[in-house]
This record gives sequence, C-alpha cells and structure tokens, in this order.
Amino acid sequence: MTLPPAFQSLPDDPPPSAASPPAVDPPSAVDASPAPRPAAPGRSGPSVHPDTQIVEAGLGVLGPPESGKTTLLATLPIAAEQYAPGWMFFGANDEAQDFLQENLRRLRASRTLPAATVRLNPEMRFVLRGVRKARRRGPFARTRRVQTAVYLDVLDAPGGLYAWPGPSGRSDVGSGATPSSPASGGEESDRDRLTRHVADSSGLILLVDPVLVDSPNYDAYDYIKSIVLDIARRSALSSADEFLPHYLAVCMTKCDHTAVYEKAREFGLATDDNGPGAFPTVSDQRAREFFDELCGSSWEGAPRGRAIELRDAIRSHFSPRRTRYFLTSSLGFGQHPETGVFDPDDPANPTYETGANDGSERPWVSGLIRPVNVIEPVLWLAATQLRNGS
Amino acid sequence: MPEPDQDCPVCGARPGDDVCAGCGWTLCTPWRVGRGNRQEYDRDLAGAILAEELRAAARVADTWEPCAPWLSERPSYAQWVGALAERSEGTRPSAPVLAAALRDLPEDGELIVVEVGRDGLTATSVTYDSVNGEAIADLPWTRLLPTLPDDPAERLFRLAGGLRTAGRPALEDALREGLRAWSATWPTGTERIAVCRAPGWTLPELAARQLAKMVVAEHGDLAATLAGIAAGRPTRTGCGLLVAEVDPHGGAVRPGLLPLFEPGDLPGAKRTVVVHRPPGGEPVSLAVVTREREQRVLGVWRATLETETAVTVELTGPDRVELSGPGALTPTTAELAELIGDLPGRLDLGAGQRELVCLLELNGLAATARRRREFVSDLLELLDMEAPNRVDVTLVGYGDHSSEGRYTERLLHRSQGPAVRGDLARLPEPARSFVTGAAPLEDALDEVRVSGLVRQRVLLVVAGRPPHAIRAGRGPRPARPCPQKIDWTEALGATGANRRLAVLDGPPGDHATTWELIGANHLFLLAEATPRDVGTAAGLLPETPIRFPIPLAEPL
Repeated sequence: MTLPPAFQSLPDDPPPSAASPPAVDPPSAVDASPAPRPAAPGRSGPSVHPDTQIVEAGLGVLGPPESGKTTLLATLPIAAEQYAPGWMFFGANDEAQDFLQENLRRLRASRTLPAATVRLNPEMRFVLRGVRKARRRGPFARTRRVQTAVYLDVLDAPGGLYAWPGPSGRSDVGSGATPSSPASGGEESDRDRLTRHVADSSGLILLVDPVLVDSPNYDAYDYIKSIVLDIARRSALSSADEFLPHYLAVCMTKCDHTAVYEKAREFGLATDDNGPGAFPTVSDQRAREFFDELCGSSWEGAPRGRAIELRDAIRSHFSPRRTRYFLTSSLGFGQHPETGVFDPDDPANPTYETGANDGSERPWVSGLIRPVNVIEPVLWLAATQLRNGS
Repeated sequence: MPEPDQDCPVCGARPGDDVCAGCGWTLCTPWRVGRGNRQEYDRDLAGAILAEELRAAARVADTWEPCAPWLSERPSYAQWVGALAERSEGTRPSAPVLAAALRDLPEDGELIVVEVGRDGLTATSVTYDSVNGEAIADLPWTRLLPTLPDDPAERLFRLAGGLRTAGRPALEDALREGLRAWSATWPTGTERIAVCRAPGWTLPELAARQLAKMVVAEHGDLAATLAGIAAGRPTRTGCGLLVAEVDPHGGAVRPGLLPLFEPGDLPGAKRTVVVHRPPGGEPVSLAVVTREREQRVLGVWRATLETETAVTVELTGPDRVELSGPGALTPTTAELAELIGDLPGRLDLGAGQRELVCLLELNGLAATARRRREFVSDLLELLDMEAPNRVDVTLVGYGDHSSEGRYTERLLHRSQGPAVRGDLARLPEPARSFVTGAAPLEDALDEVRVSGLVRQRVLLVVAGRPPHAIRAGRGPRPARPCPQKIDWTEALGATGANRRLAVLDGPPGDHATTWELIGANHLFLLAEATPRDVGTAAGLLPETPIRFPIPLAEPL
C-alpha cells in the first residue's frame, strides 16, 4: 500500500509489505502544518516529546446496528501493524486502552467478535503516532522527519441511538441500546452527547453493510438522515460552503462476503492478480462508482429503493471534495484452513455458528485477521487534519 | 419215642420236631431207663420260659418293667442283662435289594413293597416311572389279629414273642388267613419285597415271610430309601434341548433336538449346548424333551438370550433335569404341542447378505444430536435382534469442518462390523458450537464411495443440516463451502447405494430438493419415525416382528 504523503516514511524507515491494499488517494504533499507543539496540558495519556507534532481530531464512527463499528475500531491496531509500518495505533486514555485490549483478546485468542455496543460509552481517545516526512513551502523547502501524533476522540455509539423516530416522534432505539434520558438536573442525554460529539468532529466514518442494505429492518437512509439533521442543527452554519463542514469516509463493509467480493471483482475493485493463493487487493479508485452501483440496484439487479435515498442524502449534505469511499473488511479475507492461502470460492473470514445449548447464532473468526481498508479511512481523515492545520 | 403232641411249653409254638423250632426247647427225648427228675425239669422249664419272655421283653423296651405283668416271674439283674446282651436286631438292609429289584423291573412292571411294623402293615406300589411309590393298602394289627390284647403294651409284648399264653398256633393261623385275604386284591404277577420294621419280632417276621419271598429287616423310611435309590438310577431314555432348525436354502422351519443325555447316563452328568437367539429378540422357552416315540417334556424355562448363548443342563435323576445357565431362568410349564405350535413354517431369509451404510451427523442442538444417536442405536439393536448376522453395518459419524472458529483436524469417525454398536457409544459428544446452515455430509459421502460392483447397499443419512456446497452462499450469513471442494452430488452417486433414505431433524424447508435427492427412496422426520419404519423401508426388516418361541439351532 502507498500511504498518504503526509504519512509516508523516510527512505531509512522499514519499507511497506508487498501484498497490501492499494493506496488511499493522497492529499496535497505540501505540508502546511504549523510547527510542532507539545501536548495540551491536562489531557490524559503518556507524556509527549516536545518535538512531536500534535494533531487533534474528533472522529465519529457511525452506522446502523450490526454494521461493524466496534469491530472496525478494534482492528485498527492490527491494520496499522500490517499496512502502516512505522505507525502505531493505541489508546491514549483508559477507556480506549481497555477497549483495545479486551477486543483484541476476543478477536485473536477467543476468535469472537466484539460485543455489540449497547450503551454510549465514555469518549475514547486514540493516538495514531509515527514519523512522517514533511516538506515546508518556500524556496529552500526540504524534507524532514516529523514526529506526529494524531489524537482521535472517538465515541462508539450503539446503532440504535440514531434510529429514525417513528410517526409518534419517539426514538425507537434498536440493538438493545439503552440511552439515558436527561436527568432533572439538566444532564445531557446520550443522543445529545452523541450529536454534540459528531457535530464537533472533523471527520466521520460511516459504515454501510452492502449485504444488509436490502433488509427491511436495515434502513441506512433513515439513519443518515437523522444524523444529518442533528449535525446541521449544530454545525451547518460554520461551514464555508453549502455542505456540512465534515470530512466523511463512507465505508462499505464486509468486502470479504462472497456476494460483495464477486461484485467488487466484476467492478474491478478487487483484483487477484498477485498470484494463486495470494490475497486480492481492494482498490478505492472506483469505490464511489461502486457505491452508486450498490445503491442503484440489488444483487439481482432490482432497484433498492431507499438505498438510493441514502446515496442522495450523502451527496446533498456532504461535499464531494470532502467525501471518500472505501470498500472495507475489518476481519479481512479468509484463508484455507490447511494451506493458509486465499480461495476465491470462499473469500469470507467469519464462520457463523450456532450454540448447541441455546441455539444462538454468532460469527467466529476462522482465519488470521488481515483488515482491508480499515486504517486507510482513518489515515485519510488524519491527513485532512494535518493539511488543515488543526 | 413218643411224638410231641402239645404246644411248646416255652414259646407256645405248634409242635413239630423233637426240638421246638421257635425257641429250641427239647420237646421230646428218646426213651431212657430210670426215673426222671421232675424238680430239675420244672426248674429248667421255668428258666427257659422266663428266658423266652425276657427275650420278647428286651425286643419291646430297654427295661423289663413295661412287660412285668406278663412275665412268669421277676427276673434278676443278671438275667435281664443277659437278655439284653442276646438281643440282636438281625438287620438286613433294604436299599440294595430294592435297588436291584427296581433296576431289573421292566418298563411296565410293578413292585409291591410291604412294610411290617409295630403298628401294622403298609403295602406300597413302586413302578419305574413312579419311584417314590404309592401306598395301596394299610392294615393295623388290631384288624388283622383282633384277638391280640387291647392293651398296647401287652400287644407289643405278644407281637415281639411273648406268645406262650396267647394261643400262638391260633394266632399264626389267623395271621396267615388274614394276610392272604389282605393281599388278594393286589395286582397279580407283581414282584414283592417285605420289609420288617421290627427286626426279630416273632409275628412281624412271620407276616413278612408270609407276604414275600424276599424279606429284609431294618428300621427306616421307605420313601427316603426309594428317593435315595431313584437319585442314583441311570436315565432310561435320551433327551435333548428343543430348538428350531431353519433350512438355509428354502427357509423352512422345523423343530429339532440338540442332544443332551443318552440312556444309561447317571445323575450328576452335565451337558452344555450352544443355541442362537431367533429373530424378534423376545424371551424364548428352553425345553428339555425326551427322545422316544411319545415325547415328553421334562422341564421348561423362560429366558432372554444373547446372540449366541451357552445352555448348561444337569441330569438330577431319571427324567429329571435342571438348567444352570444362561443368566436369569424362570421355570414354567408347557406341553410340547404348545411349544412348537407358534413356530413359523418358513422364514424369509432374503436375497443374501445386505449392507447398511449409516451416516450420522454428530453436531447440532444438543438434545436433537443425542436423539439422533439414540435412534441409530435403537435401529442397530433391532437389526441385531431380528436379522442377526444378515446385515453388514458401516457407520460414519461426522462433525464439522470447524468449531468456535477452529479448524477440526478429524471430523469423520468410521466403524464397521460387530464393533459398530460399541463404537457408536464412544463417538464424540456434540460440539458446543456448530456451523450454521451446513454440515460436512459431503465428506461422509466421500468416505463411503465405492468403485465397481457392490452387493445390496442401503444408504441411511441421519442428519439435520444439508451438505456444504462447493462455493459459498450469497445470503446475509452464508455457509462456507467445503474446504476439500467435495461435490456432494458426485459423492452421493459414488456411494453405490441402490436404496437411499434420510431421517431429518425437521422438515427440509429450503433444502427440500437436496434432501429429496439424498433420501430418494424415503424421507423420515426424527420425531415421527421408528426404527422399524426405517428398517422396513430399507428392505432390511419385515413389517411385523417375527415371533420365535424357541431358540435356533444355528445362526441365520
């Protein structure tokens, strides 16, 4: 993979791995970032080298229930290890560190997915830290190594918090979410807290499940519409153009699913030209077109109805210059259990199993975790912050 | 020399020779010159009389006092001790004589044993088949000789020999006449043996000699003596264990006997024979039957047999047997016609050996997975009972390609032949978690593929999930394909089965087409099917159970 120029390592740093997903479209390579500044006093986390460039970024991870938000967050460290050499992703506060440790243990040791988020947890603060090359403007511009730490304040929200209110106007919360209500003393409700966080964030990651988008109970359009209205109420006036000010990474998840993978192959997004048994590469070059195709027709070619509205809602509220599309998979492609190679007839990683005693169904991680386009949306959003000098 | 013409003055016996045959007193001497010594004669006579009386008294009791009223004088201690010392029972054992007589008794012969005792006489009829005997006549002394004293003690004294003053000749005449009349009603031509139960007593000994040529004398009990003789007699007829013989070619069924004992075998002999459980598995009757024209049942026991059972029979007497194996036996009674009346005339042996290939899905919801195993176990048990050694069984239990995300190294468990039932019980327990939507039935089908010609083969699948496809599904949560890329349709065709059945956890639903191909001949639901339903549909069992009342001589 080719990292954004803002995140590219210098020549003496370890090279990137060979079979890795293609690059994120790089923002401008000119570094207009301010001089490094120390970490803000009073924030939790380890002490920071005084030469480290600090970038603060609020990041909202949004998506309807079961779209994979928590799993995506939990696999970010793995993705950073595998595809962003020289960069580390870790927790900067207790909540974030506990989150990563617990869920990495579940994924790798127990082979289970993170539990569904059922309540609005405290804000987690993550750090994406590494050394990047920076080049200043000017006649004597030169490339230099800049220690950079991108702080990401993340609120992992249960998908049901943004369910579209019914005809009665009440919020019907799904996925077992139990939002708090304002206390008599004026305490903020969960939805309000989430809205404030999302509105104040500079970047948003929106997860859309291409497999479930046809399901009658999965209404991503209502979801995004509800978010947009809340955000607009708080932040639309601060935008310099007719769109919301946010950078939006639209992530179409589960690209390892057979139907999604085959569609992506037809579209040229997934290519397995790395040799027999090698994992396919998934590009985001035509991801936007793929998203349009996805919303335009079902797997069988029928119009998806509300999925088109989803596409239109995104287009009408988020600037195309500030919107990127990614085809992702938090767990990555599966491998043959004996040979360990990729099998195009069986691209999925999770195996769905049923409990013998209670009949409950759940996915299990059956192969190695090799996230696809998981760190890339985060890197892109972080690069936008660097470019904008936040 | 004058002839004796008076009864003996000592014992009262009728005169005969010069010396009394009863007591030895000289009744008559040759003429001699000179005068006789009367006093000496009287003294000798008195002594002889007392001695004779004491001999009788000593036979009655160990003291002379009970007989004192009838003694001519009071005896001295020495005289009494002398009388006791002379007392000899004169026992002559009856067992050898009776045993010899019974051994030589013809089949339709009869022996009459007469016991003569202190109270009277008893006649018992003994035959070869009724060794215990049956009393046919009874005669107390008081009826035979009414002139005997009423007093019991005096009567015993007279019977024992105190007859000097009892009119002995008349008594003996009455005895002979009475016994002749009493025995006149007995079967003629029968052998007789007399047992004197009062050895040495004058009248009982006389009566015994009157009734039979062969006389023995001893105390004892005739029934006990005869039982002891019977216990040691050899058996007269051979016998065998009743079994069913099946013609291996046509299936005709007929009763037969497995040889046990031969004529002349002595009590205590044991024989062990091996019988085989018949179809049906019901308890059977183990019957010992004689080998003669008019067969008799010597004993019947009910037992539940194993596939092959050793039965041990002991000869405990003539026409008496006991079974000492196998296991729990329940004595019962039955006639021969009743035992063989329920035998089928013919047993359908089918068209030779058949093969059952059973593929059993091991995983699933725990209770259902266990129910599948129980069903297969019950089916195998039924086949074992009703078609023993007729069906070769191959069992393949299959798990999942993975469980809890981890690849399963060994998912197939194969067993064949007689070990199948035991191996079924040792199959792995259902996994805690199983792949949703598909199971490696394709691997199990591939495991039992054959090449070339096969004999009659029945394929039975007991499962809940369909096989994996070659490619992954496209639904929201698709089942993964088979890692080995086994095409289940091709593997199904290669099983060589000419009959295919399936027992499913529930209705096939969306996989109806798949299951209708796998269970082309019949689809069953686990909750509704019975092992007999499946066995019948498979062509392995008849629709109704076969009932066999007795064991088989040979395995089918």
